[in-house]
Amino acid sequence: MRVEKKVYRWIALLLLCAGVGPAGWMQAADGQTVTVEAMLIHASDRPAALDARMDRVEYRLRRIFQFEHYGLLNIIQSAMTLPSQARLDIGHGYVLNIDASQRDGRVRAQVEWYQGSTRLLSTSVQQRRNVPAILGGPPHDGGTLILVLEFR
Amino acid sequence: MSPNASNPLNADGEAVDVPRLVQLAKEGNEAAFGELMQAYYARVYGLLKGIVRHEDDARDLSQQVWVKVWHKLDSFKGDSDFYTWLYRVATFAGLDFVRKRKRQREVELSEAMEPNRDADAILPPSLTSRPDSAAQTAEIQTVFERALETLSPEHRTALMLREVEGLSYDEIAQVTGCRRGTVMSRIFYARKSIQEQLKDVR
Amino acid sequence: MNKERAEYWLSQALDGELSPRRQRRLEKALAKDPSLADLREQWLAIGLSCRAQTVEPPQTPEAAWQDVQRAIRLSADESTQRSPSFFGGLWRWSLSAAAVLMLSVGIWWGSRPVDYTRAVIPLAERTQVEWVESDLPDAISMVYEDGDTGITVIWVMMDDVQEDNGHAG
Repeated sequence: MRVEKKVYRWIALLLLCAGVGPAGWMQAADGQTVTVEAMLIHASDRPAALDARMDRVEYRLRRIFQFEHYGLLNIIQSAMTLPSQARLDIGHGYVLNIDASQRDGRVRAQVEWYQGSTRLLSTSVQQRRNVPAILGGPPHDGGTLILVLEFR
Repeated sequence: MSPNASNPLNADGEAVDVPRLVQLAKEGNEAAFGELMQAYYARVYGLLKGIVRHEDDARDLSQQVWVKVWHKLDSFKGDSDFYTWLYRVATFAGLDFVRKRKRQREVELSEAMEPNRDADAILPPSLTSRPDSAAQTAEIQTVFERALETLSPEHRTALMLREVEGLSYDEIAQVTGCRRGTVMSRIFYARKSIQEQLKDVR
Repeated sequence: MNKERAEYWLSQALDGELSPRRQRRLEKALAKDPSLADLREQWLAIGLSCRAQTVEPPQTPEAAWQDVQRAIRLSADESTQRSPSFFGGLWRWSLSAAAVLMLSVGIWWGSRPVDYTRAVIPLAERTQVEWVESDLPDAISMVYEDGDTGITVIWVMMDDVQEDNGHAG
């Protein structure tokens, strides 16, 4: 019977997912709470103070970009229950508006990065939890701003 | 605005009075809807073929779109041109179909070894023994089609709506439900991507 | 004007969506840079190829309309059929409970935080970007995946914003 076949297929799929349990494969679902972390970094060729909170990302930034120094301007975390919206004041006059929902096991986020009333960057991303994305480019204080965005 | 899309012709080559037919169809006049459907049939089919890249799928989907248009016609308030609303319904159906097809292919892992039927339709030509210009044109066409395949459905749709349907950025934004800047960027990246892939055959 | 910006404008110019002021600047750039003029030809050819792609529909409009008419009538007649009960027997319940249990274990296992500090992010885990835009005049957005780390970078280039600020067209 067709319906039964369908049920078996679903059960097999569930078992497969459970059995394999690939590391890092944490699906986002509606009603689930995620923590969004935004790390505002000033990249420039001017020396900046080392900050242990940047240890996790600095290694990567050095591989991706050519800047000499990376200084942490601010780090902010906020809990979001999907789907929902959040407004994060990341300091130095910058604000992030995040509209996050669940989509295909990922967090689908529309992110708007404002300086005052100017929208510096707006994007729509689908991110796995614990996988950072890097936004950046706006000039700031003789250097460039980098924003590391991650959902956990 | 594309005059062809806003002023389609019927089988006798006469201009179709779209607003009148839409109004009649909304009142339940099936014949008026039929006239409307036939005036836009080729365009909708072409758009869907561009998105799903497969003739049979485009044909089935085209039929589904028209059934949906018939049932949803009441929701068309006339705020925009009928064709932008129609293209929007068709585009969403096409993109939705492509997403489902992709997901289905991912789920059917056991069938993963089966070659992609769309990709299959475009076989790499053995052109090394045909160094004439016809062969080069054929090669460019093949690479072009393959380059179109590699674009995301969203990028491909934006490019087709612009290049084939002649829609403006604002109209494409309306049809695809995204912002004008996004349309601009999608068309730019679509062109860049195709051009990159054509580089080697020129 | 840098090349990236010129190309971005060229794309808009081909679509008739570039402001006259920018059009003039682009024309100067085209006159100076033969590779840009070459690019214009290539993009025009892409447009022609797109239009050449349009195929004749497999049916005549009349035949297609008959099919649609039939489908409309069928959809109107279609009565909603309730699916038979999925889980009839006890064994099915057991199987489902086992599946749920294993799924919970899988989720717990998978939910442990993964340290991506050094490891390259696997292809399936990478961030997908649907679109990017900026309200800054003349900003150019770029999206790329860093090959070494697998991280997705969304970048807005504004190197000569100052030049156009206040008098953007």
